[in-house]
Amino acid sequence: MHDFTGGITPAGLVWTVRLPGDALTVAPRGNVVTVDARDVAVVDERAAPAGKTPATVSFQMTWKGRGGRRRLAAASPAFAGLFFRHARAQGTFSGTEEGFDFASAMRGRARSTFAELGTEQNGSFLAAATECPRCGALAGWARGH
Amino acid sequence: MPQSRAVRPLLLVAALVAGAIHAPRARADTASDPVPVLPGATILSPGPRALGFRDGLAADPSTIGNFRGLVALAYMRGRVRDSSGRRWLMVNDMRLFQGDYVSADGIQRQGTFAFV
Repeated sequence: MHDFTGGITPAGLVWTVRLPGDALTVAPRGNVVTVDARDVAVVDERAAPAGKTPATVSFQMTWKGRGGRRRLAAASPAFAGLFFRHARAQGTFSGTEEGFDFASAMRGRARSTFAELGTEQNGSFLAAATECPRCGALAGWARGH
Repeated sequence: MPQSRAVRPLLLVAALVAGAIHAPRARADTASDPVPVLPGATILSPGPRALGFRDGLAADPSTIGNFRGLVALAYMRGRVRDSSGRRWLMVNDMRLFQGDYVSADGIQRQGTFAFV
């Protein structure tokens, strides 16, 4: 088994790596998002034989949302967002490290078993929107703000 | 409730799992890095309770705190092959975040991130 992840920062940010801004393309209505990420630095942490190996992964994925947007929110940890009622994703993946590499099968695009697509805010942005609902960022992001 | 990750394959004879196991490992911080939503290197895994996601749908898919912007999440399954032709089952939790965030140094920034 191989386990490719982006690592965890000392501050506790889990598996979250920076991408170039142009890696993402968002349709004007926000209902189609594509990502083309190349050679993202990750670590392969194998259980057996145990070890960590520097690796890179590449992925090209497309998310599609439909059915209008619904509000999802929670109190703890607090967030609020507008998400498409139905979303799905598919894509191709590849990766390489010393002694091992992989790529999506020719006719084997990976598909989502569950997907979400939308806009949201949390933390200090959520507090600001709560204080001034008309200034909330969600509508702005939905317009391509 | 926070949990490490809910996407777990039921059967993995030969599996390539891109990030289905929670294990602490350190990466260097920079002042412009985002801050996490939750302490303790934990994340939420939103999804239908009927499919076993105990967080349910009303759970923040973002791993980035003090964030405002686009979020895309997908629990993926697919087949891959290694260079010898061996087939592997790939299971991964992929997320994208693009928008404004307040970084660890307190400055509001813009960025694009992938959860891999």
